[in-house]
Amino acid sequence: MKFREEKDEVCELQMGPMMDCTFLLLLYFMASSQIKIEEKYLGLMMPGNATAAAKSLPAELTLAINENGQVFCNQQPVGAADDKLLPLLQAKLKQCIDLFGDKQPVVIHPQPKVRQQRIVDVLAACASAGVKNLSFFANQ
Amino acid sequence: MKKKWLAEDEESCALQMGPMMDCVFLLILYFVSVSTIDMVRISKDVHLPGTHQGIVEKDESGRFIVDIEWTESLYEPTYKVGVLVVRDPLDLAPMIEKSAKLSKNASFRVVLRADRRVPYEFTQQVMAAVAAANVPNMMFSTVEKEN
Repeated sequence: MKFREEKDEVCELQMGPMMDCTFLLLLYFMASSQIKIEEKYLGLMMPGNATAAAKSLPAELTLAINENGQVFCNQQPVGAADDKLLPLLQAKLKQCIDLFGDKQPVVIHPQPKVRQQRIVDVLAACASAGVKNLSFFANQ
Repeated sequence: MKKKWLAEDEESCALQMGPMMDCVFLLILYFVSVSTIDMVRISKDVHLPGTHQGIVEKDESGRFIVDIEWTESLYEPTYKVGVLVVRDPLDLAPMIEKSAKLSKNASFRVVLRADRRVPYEFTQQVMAAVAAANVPNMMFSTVEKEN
């Protein structure tokens, strides 16, 4: 009886299938990754949830925005339609905040056709001035 | 004088797998580390208004997100909560109220992702629904304004 000699098996790492798997993983992650744009937020208080009015609250400032995008503070013009930064409005709000602090109520009253970008411009001016008590006019 | 020309060793032109694998693994590690699993909760068709004053929120829990897409040609908005299209914005009130109760988060708030072109008359309806749901906190979503 002849016994065949067992051939020595060579144990080598097979690179071909490994490369295939690696490239597949790479392609998956490349295809599924997306550049995410960071979002930021501007906060405000909803009308109708005010606590009992404090007697010492100052008179509220009403910021009206007409359909052309012009901004008025208590009926005084503070921003033209093409004015994005609204420095005059910021100065006026800062003045009131310095006098009355965070209690100073500010109410925004846009016209129905005013675009969201314009409203955000006004909100940004309020945030820049440090307005905390901010709300929107509640139509009845 | 005999010049002996040494036979040039034959250069093997085999593909070097080692360095190639190193590069591929580095790329894989990069993409694995930067990728995160994000559920589709927001609409990609909303072009948010730009501003320099927005605040980045680190804690994203306790938020109810409402998207308002805008079609200029039809002059009409599309209200969405995730992938659910809401026909009447007043229908948002019970949804928001229920979410607020389930959330049990003291800082529960509604995030309004309105397109920059949406007129206030439509945004106002969503705000009315938020007020009807007795949620005091609301935020407008913005992006960094390009100079």
